[in-house]
Amino acid sequence: MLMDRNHIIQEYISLAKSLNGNVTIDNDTLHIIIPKESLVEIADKLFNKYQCDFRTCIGVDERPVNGYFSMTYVFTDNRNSLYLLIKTYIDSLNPSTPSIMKVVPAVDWCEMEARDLLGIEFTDREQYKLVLPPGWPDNVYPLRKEVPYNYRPLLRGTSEKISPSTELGVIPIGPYHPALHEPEYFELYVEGERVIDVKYRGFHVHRGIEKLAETRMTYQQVNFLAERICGICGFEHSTCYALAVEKAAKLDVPERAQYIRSIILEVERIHSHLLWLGVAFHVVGYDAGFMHMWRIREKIMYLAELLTGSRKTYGINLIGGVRKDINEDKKQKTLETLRELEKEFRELIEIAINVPQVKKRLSGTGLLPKEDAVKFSVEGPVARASGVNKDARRDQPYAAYKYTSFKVPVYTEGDNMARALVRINEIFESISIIEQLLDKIPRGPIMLEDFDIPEGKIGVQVVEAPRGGDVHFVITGHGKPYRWRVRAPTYNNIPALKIMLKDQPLADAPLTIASIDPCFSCTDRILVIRENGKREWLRITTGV
Amino acid sequence: MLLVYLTLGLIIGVISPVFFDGIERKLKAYLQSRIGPPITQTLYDLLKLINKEVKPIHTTPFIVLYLLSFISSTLASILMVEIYVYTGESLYITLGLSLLAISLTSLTIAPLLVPNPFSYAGGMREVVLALINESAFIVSVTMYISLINNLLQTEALSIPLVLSVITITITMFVSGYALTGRAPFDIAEAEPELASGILVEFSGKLLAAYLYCNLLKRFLITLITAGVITAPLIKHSVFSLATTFVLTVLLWIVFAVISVTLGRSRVDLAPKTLAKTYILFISLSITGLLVHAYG
Amino acid sequence: MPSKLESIKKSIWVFHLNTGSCNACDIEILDALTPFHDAERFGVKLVGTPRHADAILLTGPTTLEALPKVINAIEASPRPRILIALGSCGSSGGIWHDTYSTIGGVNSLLKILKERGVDVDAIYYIPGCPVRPEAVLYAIALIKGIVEKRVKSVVLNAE
Repeated sequence: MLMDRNHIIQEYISLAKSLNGNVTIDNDTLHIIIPKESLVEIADKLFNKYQCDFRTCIGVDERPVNGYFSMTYVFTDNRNSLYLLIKTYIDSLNPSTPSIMKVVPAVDWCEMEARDLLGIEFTDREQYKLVLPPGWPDNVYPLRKEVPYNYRPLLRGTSEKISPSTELGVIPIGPYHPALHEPEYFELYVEGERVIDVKYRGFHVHRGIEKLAETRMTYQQVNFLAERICGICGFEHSTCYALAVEKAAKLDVPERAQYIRSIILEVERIHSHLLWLGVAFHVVGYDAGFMHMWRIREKIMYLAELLTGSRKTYGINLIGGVRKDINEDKKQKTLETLRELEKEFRELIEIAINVPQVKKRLSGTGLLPKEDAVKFSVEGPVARASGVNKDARRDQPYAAYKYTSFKVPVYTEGDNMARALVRINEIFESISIIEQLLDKIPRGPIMLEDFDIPEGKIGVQVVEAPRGGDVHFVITGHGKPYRWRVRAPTYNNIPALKIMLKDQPLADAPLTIASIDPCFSCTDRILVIRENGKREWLRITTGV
Repeated sequence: MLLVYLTLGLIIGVISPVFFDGIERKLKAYLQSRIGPPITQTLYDLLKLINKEVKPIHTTPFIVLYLLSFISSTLASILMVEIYVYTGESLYITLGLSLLAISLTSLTIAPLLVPNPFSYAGGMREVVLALINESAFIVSVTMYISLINNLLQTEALSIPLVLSVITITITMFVSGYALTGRAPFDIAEAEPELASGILVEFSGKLLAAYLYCNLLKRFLITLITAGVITAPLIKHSVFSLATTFVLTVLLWIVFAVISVTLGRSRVDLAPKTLAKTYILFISLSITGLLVHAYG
Repeated sequence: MPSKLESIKKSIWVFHLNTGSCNACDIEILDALTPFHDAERFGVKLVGTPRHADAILLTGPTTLEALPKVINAIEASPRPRILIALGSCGSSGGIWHDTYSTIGGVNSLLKILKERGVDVDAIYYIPGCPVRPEAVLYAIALIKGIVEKRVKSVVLNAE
């Protein structure tokens, strides 16, 4: 295995060298700096030949340091636990770079995001209209360093009127809709009761987190900010940020802290999956299932409060360790709660999943074939339900996961039932992981004392959140991150919804949208409104 | 004397659905291991809605007319069913059923008048369901009455006839249940993609009226089912009327419990499943009757 | 409490508007409705359209993108209507009080509503990051008049 890994690293290096690239190796991360002419070729090789997983791309305003903009594309080689960062510099006067969308379709959104927020133009692809909030002034790019974070050109908002379309064939879902719980706008074009096409318009929850972190915050404060990216999987974000900074600064965090992080991460995964199951049952009209799922979820909420002091938004992560220890008493109580939970959950889910309507509506709906799952680089349970075997806990082991053994459930059906089953299996796995970790947890400190964070270092980390891999990319700066980029899993999963919703009954649309467990607040840190990617939306007016 | 009982029955018919709904909500809460709202909660809801502002829709006058037509025909139908239970004359149940058809039509049309895609989609789903259930319900109720009278008159126990009665009873219960619009057949208003579907634009008094009409509909259908069961068994008296009301409450509770244990069906599945069930059961019942008569 | 709000005391129908929150408050609201806390016993019901709503829950710092839709939703609800600002973000804008894509809390929203001529009959604040379900229940009790209001409002830096 080790030979293999060295061999593949050599292959990547020679690939980069052949394209005039410059490679530095830093532990598990390969930094490849490449001229922008070779960008498409190397992306093509990595994505299509070496089957690397595309995670995200990051635009950085490096003008104060070296006078250039830069784009960094993050790939991961999941079999060999390698991160590959492909970086290219872009001239600051006329920022323009070739797009890699032709070879890596999943890059669509993050390139447009860089265009919106930094003003980098992409050639060889269709660029859609840059729409910050309606009426945002031209030539103001919030992530450029000269723009202040509290620059508010339009405090009053515009009086844009959203009213349900009068066309009979259009069913608007959102922005405020009981099926979503979050403001997001789907316009479903239907013929009869069948969905013909989908239009998505999102990013209502963009709050400017990245800009805030680069300006008003310090390193340790950003941990708490990261938790507020998402209220459901916040701890994953703060862990991911802390791990990325620790990696950049080469900090050796105490083992015990890593164990505690893993335990809390799994507690959060259980609560998130139970929540999802409840919501899914609610969407298919099985309210008794919803109520009972949330009843047993309450045990996990109390467990979280016991271990961290809060029901949600735990706030125990810091760079260098954690703030709360787990003592013997808490350990016993945790094990007891988990045993009860496992027993009750096993009984309940057996009944709930076999209710005829639930079974019928989950099976065979919202299909996502494996090819599309790969093409859109979908994450988490959505990928695993479509036969893509990836899980960052196993592929890029972080925190204390390398000391545990667990199964990664993979289903090949690709329907809503498969996504539900992946989550159900993961709950059992998570319970077992917590038990293993509590059993093995070593003694020692939980916080690293005295450390410096050097400037200008790069750290990138993938953490498997309940919805899929979170990616955090940090360039360290003076007292605070120079650039912090967050990529939430829903960001990659939403484009795949178009495939899942097409030709499905209208009645299953909310379930399918829910089946990716969308977490819009994670996704929407960055403001993009997607008008229409292809500009050929069918307008069906034949009526319901 | 009859007049007093009938007036009393009508008053019960007007008031009690509100509390039956309260009981249903309490029961649902109990099955979901909650405490649930007080039994008077539905009354509070309606009273509050009456005091609220109405956001006007330009078709409001027509909707109000349809709702009035619903209420008048429903009350008349309740009266007819009561007379049937009291006297045992089949003429009255026939009248009751035809009034039921009118009232259901009015209630189904009302949401189609609302200019909103959700309401329209929901209304169309309601129409599809109503078309299937209404006919099945009316057919099965009439068949049940004649079959049970037949059975009661036969001296020797005839197995084909008993089977025939059983299948038609099941059809009656299923179609009655589906007509009350509970899960899994609440696809017109409860499906999340429709944002309360047919109710989406109603507000204030109009919403209160519509919700009340729905409760009245549930009451009428439950009452008919209960009435045709008691009337042939207990002969023509106040006692028969009282038993019908008790049975109505019991049936309402049974329906409520069933609705908790099921999820929601889909608009393309529900009518198909229902139609298949009805055709199968009704033809089984007719076969049973034919075997009994000629076999 | 003003007398016109008396009528909605016994049955509070709530429309949930996520105005850019992180979901934590939103799931705690749902949690308040589930068996452990069971807000339905106080007559609280989550409704799917603002036309049915008595109370509108605002759970975020009101992003610019969401602002017009929020105003529309509030406008669409029949009077008497109350606003409930949930969590730090809803009440004051929280950590985002001055970022470029939010308007920062319910106070700025109220000003905008006033300019547009949209009246609100009462406003309640539930603090916490995220709010606890118990706090949500306390707010319901406050609206119903079961408990007394313990703090009084002091206006500083009035414009």
